[in-house]
Amino acid sequence: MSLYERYRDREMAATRLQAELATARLQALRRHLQPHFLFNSLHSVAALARAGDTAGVVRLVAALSELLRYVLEAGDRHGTLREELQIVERYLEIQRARFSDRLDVTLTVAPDAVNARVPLFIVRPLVENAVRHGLAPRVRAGSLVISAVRNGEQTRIDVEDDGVGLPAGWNLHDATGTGLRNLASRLAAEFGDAAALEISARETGGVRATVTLPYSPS
Amino acid sequence: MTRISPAGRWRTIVVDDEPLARQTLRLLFAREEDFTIVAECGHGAEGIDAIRRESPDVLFLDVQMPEVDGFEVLRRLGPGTVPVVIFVTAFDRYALQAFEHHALDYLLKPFSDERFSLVIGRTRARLRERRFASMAGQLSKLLLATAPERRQLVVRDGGRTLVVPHADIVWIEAEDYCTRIHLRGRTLLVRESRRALVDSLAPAEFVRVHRSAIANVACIRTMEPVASGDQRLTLDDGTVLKVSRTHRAEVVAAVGTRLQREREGSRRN
Repeated sequence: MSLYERYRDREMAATRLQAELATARLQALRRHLQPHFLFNSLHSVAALARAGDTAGVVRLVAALSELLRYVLEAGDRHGTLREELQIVERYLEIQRARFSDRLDVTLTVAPDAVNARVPLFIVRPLVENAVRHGLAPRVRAGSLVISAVRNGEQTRIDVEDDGVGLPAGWNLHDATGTGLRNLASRLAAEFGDAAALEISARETGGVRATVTLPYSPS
Repeated sequence: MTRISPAGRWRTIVVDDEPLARQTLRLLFAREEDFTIVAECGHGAEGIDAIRRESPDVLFLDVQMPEVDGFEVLRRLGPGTVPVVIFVTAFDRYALQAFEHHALDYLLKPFSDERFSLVIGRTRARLRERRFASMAGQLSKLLLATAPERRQLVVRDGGRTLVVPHADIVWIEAEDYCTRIHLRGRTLLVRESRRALVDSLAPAEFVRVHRSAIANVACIRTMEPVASGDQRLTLDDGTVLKVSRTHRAEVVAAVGTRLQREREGSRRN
């Protein structure tokens, strides 16, 4: 192999690596943004504008902007559980604007858990999952219960829905969706066995998703 | 089949699961003097009932809805039931491809007033000229192409049966006695022959790259010539595949069709 060829191969490998990195970033961005959600939300903004509801337009644009900013700035950052739950509330605010008649949300956070330091995008995927796969596929109204508590050295976050439930034989390992598997691998990479993601069927119907991770104050 | 209402307006039904989306169509239709909304429905089953009851001239149909989606509504009613159908969707690469492929009108959310007027203009022309037969034909082809079993692959992996949406497949590789399906981030090794798998794939979505590889057209990122005179394909997940000369024209055509659709799609609003 000539010197030139070796040089060219190395250049090509570097370019390919850069392209892969860019693709990985783009995929992460797309996962967090969810085009379907984004465009439907923008459609709601346009609908409010057509109806002359300026306050509604402003509220929705502000909520959407907060979500986008969070996605663009968060990266691999950590934050407080409070921050993460605020974003979850913005997300739910938008969903409620879209499905006013179909979504009932309860959010309770124990005071000693709000300042827990957590990786960002830890609760939102669970909530999105509950909305998209639990509640959205069904016509009648659904409810979502989000709670966070501190059990000694652990923070525990539960997201429960009363939606359609898990498909027969479903388990996290074989799931084709990337959202939950991605969350599980992020938790494993950072905390090893000290953190866990569990998805289970509720006895009363619907799904419970639970994340436990070591508590650390921010 | 078409009934003209007493006021001589085209009777229209709107089916969308989002209240705001229904409201915005109601406001836009209020400006069109020759159309009247006779029913607004929040889900597919309700839409089916309303269509049977009202036999409308026009249907504005959301694609993604819970339980009974837009395609399923038409499948249950039969493609010729409503003379003119306009699809409304936010983001569904698969559905858009299907609409483009079958030359059907659609509105991409959010849409401008101008885009709405354009679609209404075409709808009006179709209704006046009673050009319904061609639409029924296009719709029945669309329904065939979007049948649920064509949007996913059902494979056996060991003792398990897996359902893999086509959109998750990046490429497929034939091995000696089995087939390796490369998904985003993982692979499945299945004992089915590639032939059986290929038969169940939607033809416009996948293209043969060389003797033992098939790529999802939507996942092709670049195609470039390499020193030997061959072409090299890079996929979304970073996979690099050689394109054999026998399949080169096919790949170029598939990518070309996709680019053209994307360009048309972006010019639409």
